[in-house]
Amino acid sequence: MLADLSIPWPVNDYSIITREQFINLKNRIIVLEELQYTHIVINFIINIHEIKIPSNNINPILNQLENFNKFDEFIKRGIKFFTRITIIIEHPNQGQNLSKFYSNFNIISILPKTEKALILACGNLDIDIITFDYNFKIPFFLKHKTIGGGIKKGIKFEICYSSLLSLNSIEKQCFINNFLQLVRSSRNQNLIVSSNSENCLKLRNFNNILNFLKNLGFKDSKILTNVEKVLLNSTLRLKSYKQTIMIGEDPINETNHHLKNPIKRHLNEIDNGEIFKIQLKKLKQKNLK
Amino acid sequence: MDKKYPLEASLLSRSYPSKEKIIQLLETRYALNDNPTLSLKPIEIEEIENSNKSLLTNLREEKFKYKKELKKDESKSVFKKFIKNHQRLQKKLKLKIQHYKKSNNLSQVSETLFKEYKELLKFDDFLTMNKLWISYIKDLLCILNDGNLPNIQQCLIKLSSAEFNGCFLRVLKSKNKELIGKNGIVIYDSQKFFIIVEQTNKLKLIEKKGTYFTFVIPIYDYENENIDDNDNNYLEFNIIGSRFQYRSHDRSGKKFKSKSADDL
Amino acid sequence: MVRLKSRYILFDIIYPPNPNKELSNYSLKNSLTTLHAVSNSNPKEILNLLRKNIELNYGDYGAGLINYSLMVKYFSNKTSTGIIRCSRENHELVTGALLMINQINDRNCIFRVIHISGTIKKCEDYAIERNKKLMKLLESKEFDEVINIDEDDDEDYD
Repeated sequence: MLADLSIPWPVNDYSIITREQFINLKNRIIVLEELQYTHIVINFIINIHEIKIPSNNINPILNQLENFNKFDEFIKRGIKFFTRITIIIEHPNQGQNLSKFYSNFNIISILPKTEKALILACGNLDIDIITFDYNFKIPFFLKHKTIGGGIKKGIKFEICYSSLLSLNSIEKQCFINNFLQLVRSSRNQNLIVSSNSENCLKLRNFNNILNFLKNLGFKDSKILTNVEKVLLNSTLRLKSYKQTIMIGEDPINETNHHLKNPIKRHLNEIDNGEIFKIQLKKLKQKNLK
Repeated sequence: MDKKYPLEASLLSRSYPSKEKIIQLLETRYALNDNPTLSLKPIEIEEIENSNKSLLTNLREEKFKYKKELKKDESKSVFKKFIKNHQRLQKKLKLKIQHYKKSNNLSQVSETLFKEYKELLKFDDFLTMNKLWISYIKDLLCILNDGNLPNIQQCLIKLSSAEFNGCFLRVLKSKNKELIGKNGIVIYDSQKFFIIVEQTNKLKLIEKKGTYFTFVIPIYDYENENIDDNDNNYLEFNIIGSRFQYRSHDRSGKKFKSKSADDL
Repeated sequence: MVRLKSRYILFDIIYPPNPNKELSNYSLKNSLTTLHAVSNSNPKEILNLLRKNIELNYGDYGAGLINYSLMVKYFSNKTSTGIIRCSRENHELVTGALLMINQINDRNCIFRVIHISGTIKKCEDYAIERNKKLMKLLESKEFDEVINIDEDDDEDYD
């Protein structure tokens, strides 16, 4: 499986997207499909200092796409959709309360703007991904000590390749600089690659990107499993209680996308369901005797 | 000895033989403020039993007695012995059958011919246990047969601290490829293993680490309704074995912590 | 004498739709035909574009390294597939530059490297296998019409 963990939602607030933006989103998905991606994560980026979060309907993606009903034709072809929220944090004291997002989004990620915010994200918060703005130089030095704390907790660090493909040469340079800094401070561990591209021109084949990054001095053989682990970790948060007992057999590839899915199952959905039926029959017969 | 002031009580036991007297003394004479003081005065010495033993030996003996009492509980070791014995019998039976087949040139031999068979556990005996478990888990999750479904998150929390002795499990995924597809009724839920009895009357220890177990709860009255018509009415849950490595009585009060899923 | 060692890069061009323009429908067939549209460029243009891009991204140094054996061996307009030959030591520069190409003849495009091999034969085999798979997909039951994409192995611009 190939997954793109970041396809940005067209708007950064709770306004309703226009028809043009929706078409843009659809066009991106068909290009991703052609490039053999099967799992697509739509990323809602929000600055919680500026935008007030409503008390209900926190997830605008599910809300406006009607639980992905609008993408029905893609789902029929086997593409899985997930939602993600990226919270921009500038002051560490404002990023404390994330609990309301857990039940509404699949993946929680953080974009720290200051070093203090990064320390908070690596140390205290229960999140999946830490990402950076690759169009600009990261305004602080990434220390191995801070990043290492995040790695120990299993947080993944994201590389967004869309700035590499931009026409602006400064953005390209910033990307390479930031990328090398991240590789150095994380010692090639816990990195993931995603596109974060705002239109369909800046999407590329995953292996091509990986080869290019390897030329720059990147040696992670686990990068594909890392992406899978992020999806697994985030879906288990909703579908299981602290990863002890889960609903369903394969949380990533299950056809049921909705966050509040019914747990009732048909026998065909259960792997080797006949065995359980036979068992119940035995119990019934015993009762008759 | 007095529970509140064990040290003082053992001190006083040097001069007074009866326990009641000591407790009474402590209650009346012992100051209960911040700095407890015990006022002592010379008394006429009465004969005290075991007076030749020192205070420390007394204490040590008492501790020793307590430990001995603990050791009396041998159920665990008996259980272990039973499991080992059972596995040995299983092997023996298997070898015997093989031998019998070879010597008599038979393609199939029924197990019931051998005397070891009588001592083995039977799957059918545990059906009652399974039945009890199903009614227990339905009670726990408040599943009524009218089709109303409980809250998922609540269900999961309850299940994570539920009892699994008597549950009918199937191995869904495992690091050990041999185990996939094995199924049976759990007879004991130990820290690192599920001990199950298979349908072929075999006892099996299945390691929890790296294994996923499936179980199914019917949401209809399976005793009265026709089973063939109710393909749509099941709840399916999966146990993630790697995160389930606790004994059942430890699990009931445990607060699970969220971990990263890197090792699953 | 040591033989001159080279690498052959099999690539294809995807033409993504205009970001804000709606397709008539989003069925698999329609999206495949829009993305695999017929291209209207010749090998020379691609070579020039590639040279320009290497110079843009890797500077004079990169352009100098790559210059002596870079060549577009084959390019088919109908399937938008082609093979590039370059020297073995520096093929990373070529793949890197291909990655960053955004436009060809003022038309948005994505270059995708499919296969890298030491002999041109293996590249051809791989391309034929791929095209067969694509044809099978297009001919399968989901589509009522069969689209005519002829395989043109004869068009060799050597």
